[in-house]
Amino acid sequence: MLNTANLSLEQAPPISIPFRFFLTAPLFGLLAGLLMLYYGPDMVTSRWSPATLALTHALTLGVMSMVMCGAMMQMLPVLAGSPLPRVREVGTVLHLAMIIGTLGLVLGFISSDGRWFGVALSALAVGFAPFFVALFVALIRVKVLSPTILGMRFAGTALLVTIGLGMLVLMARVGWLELGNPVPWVDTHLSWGLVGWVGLLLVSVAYQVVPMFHVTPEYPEWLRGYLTKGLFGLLIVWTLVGAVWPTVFYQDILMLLSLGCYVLFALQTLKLFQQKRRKVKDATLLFWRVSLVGIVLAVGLWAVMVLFSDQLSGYLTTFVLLIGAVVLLAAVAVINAMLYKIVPFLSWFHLQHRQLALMSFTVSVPHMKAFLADKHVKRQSYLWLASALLLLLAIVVDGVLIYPGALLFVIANLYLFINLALIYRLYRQVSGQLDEAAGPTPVAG
Amino acid sequence: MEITLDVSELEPCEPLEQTLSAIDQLQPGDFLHVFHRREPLLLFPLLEKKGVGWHCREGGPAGYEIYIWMADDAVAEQQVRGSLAG
Repeated sequence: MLNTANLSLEQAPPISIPFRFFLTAPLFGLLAGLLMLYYGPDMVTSRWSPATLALTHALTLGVMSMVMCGAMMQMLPVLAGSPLPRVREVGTVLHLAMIIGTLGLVLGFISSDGRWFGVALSALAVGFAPFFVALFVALIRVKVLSPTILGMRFAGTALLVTIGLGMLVLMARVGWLELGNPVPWVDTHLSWGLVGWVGLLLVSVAYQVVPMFHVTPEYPEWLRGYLTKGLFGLLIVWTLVGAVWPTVFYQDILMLLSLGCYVLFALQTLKLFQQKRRKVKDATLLFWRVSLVGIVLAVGLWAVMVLFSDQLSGYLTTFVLLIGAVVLLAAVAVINAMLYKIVPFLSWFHLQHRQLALMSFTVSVPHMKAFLADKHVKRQSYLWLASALLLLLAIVVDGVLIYPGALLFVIANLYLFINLALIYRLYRQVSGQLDEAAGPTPVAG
Repeated sequence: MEITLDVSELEPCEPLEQTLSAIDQLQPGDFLHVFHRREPLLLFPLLEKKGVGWHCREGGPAGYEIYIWMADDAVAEQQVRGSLAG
């Protein structure tokens, strides 16, 4: 046999496993919007306000991590021939644990009742422990180490550190242990979360998604070879310096170098989009371009804040909130854009595979474009971007703008949920037709 | 006979769809010579299900070339081996 590929869709989880994660995420986006509507301008006064902490975790855990964990469970077997062991059980437990854990965190922050944090801690421990075991087994077992898989190893490690630190901070908050000043712990937790977990995974996945779905050239070899290694290394050094020899100057330099890596990635991605081989209209490009420019601006703002912190002393809270909001919104927007490519493609691909397995050729599998009309992608993206703009203006101009921003955010997330649900509905319809056409004993696949 | 198919500038799922459709039209003695810009990892499990033989290598005008033939077509397989050697 001349070909040595070792891929089989039988090793991938059934589509309902990743899809339940993808469909739940916009519901947490909806919750985030409702929190903003309820608490209004209180959300934009400080990053430490309970409502803001609840919102942050609804977005980072409920939206972003929800999609990212689901995606990893699907991508590892398909891209690297390395499935997660017991993926059905691990995926089912993780999904439920993330729902309960995120809700527990949100309720804990807004009610100040420590028992909700106890619920969150227990749920997240039960869900993530088996997930990490399965994930690292799959990541270590890969036969060919691509830049994407290497990046996923770093991202998975960063998630472990993020969750570990988050749990420590939470346990200190409810009085289960003593940590001293929580601020450096929280800053380390959020740095590993955003600069580590979210950033590293989105970059690693982009190495595949951008050239594949947008018909761009590949990312340069030097970038694919060194970016995630550099980022992970810098994050470790930054953490060690903070732990052993806390010096704001050196920590800021290290963090600036890390953020500079993301600027490099953003500019390179924008360049790739310019070099698209076919100038086909792509409704998700607006999400990408706005997010990437947003990342560059956020890093610029961070550098200004750090370099001129004395002169900006009255505005530091605004800077911190603005930078945090831009980063979170940019990450959610990129995830939104990727979902619009990955979900229709996965649906089509699973159906193709099922058709071949069942030999049901009287039923035709719809073209990928039939799963989701471009006009819905465009409208949802415009709504989402309008809401993001209003939310950012609420931070820098007038807090009252959070109301229209939050309302649009709720509608945009509902629209995303409906779009994804319709894709899944069409998948189920065609899958049923394939089973019927195959006869009384269809092959599971 | 060699049938060429250039899918290198198409968005998903066009490369996969066009390749699968071209396989359905192969006559005895024919093989498909596909040009693509990336190694089509997702094509291979579908080819396995279809019961075809294939070989992928770096090269060709777009970056990768994939040779596909019906598994029971010895003539076509011979032609592919000849192309690869030549």
